[in-house]
Amino acid sequence: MPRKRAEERMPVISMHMPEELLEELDGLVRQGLFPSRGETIRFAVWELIREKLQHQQPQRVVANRKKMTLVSFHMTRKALEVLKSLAEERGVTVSDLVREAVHRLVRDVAGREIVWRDESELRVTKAVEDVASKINRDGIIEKHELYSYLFETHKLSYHEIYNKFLPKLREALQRKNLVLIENEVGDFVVIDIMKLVKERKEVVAYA
Amino acid sequence: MPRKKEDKMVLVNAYIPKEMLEELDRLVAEGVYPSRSEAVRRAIGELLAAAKGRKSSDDVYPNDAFIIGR
Repeated sequence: MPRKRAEERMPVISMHMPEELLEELDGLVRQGLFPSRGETIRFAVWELIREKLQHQQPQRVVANRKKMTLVSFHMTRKALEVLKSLAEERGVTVSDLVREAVHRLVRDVAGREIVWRDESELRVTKAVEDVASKINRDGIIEKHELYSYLFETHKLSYHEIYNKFLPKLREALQRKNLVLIENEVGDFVVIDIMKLVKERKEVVAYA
Repeated sequence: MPRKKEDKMVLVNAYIPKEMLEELDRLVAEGVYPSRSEAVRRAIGELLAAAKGRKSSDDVYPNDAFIIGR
């Protein structure tokens, strides 16, 4: 990305300000809280905009933990020390803090919330798609066989199967007019609703 | 005037998700920040300022803790 000096990218604005307010600003600069008047005003304006943006629902951007990019930047030695001490205090790394900081900035300034893609969710979704594509008619699925397949092929845990996989599989099968229930020995029975309705109609007609 | 040791700039490396970097670059392209580094410094500055705000003692974070680069 081409670099430009801050002055080249930022237009100059002049404004009238009460002297008392200007003195307050200079006081903040003298105290060392801000490096300059300009920086103080920019900070205040951003605070104002951020406050406004906070009332809006941020747009979600899904990030992948496996695709990290190295970012290098300069900061003062003193600030790095403070950052390191904060990282130590929280038991996290400096990279964790940088990610947290950028996350906040992107959320507050751009109105975009970076969310981690849940890897467990991905595995479960894949497994549901796979299994649902193989079930096209009524019948019995042995629990042992299904679980072994999910453990080995999709690396799902018991917890993931019970709490995430089965509810999603039931939803996926419902879309194909199939219902999944457990029989008395714990195996899964797939019932074809349309077939059942048709059979029932035939029984009624016969009667 | 020569800079004090604590004001000297040091290079910091961190890993952030690709999507996060793209969002930062978008802010730079929109002219919100002059550069990616400046955006990261501002982000850290605000994080440290927020952390300082939650502290009861100012000893942990000195007054000018969030001046992190110029």
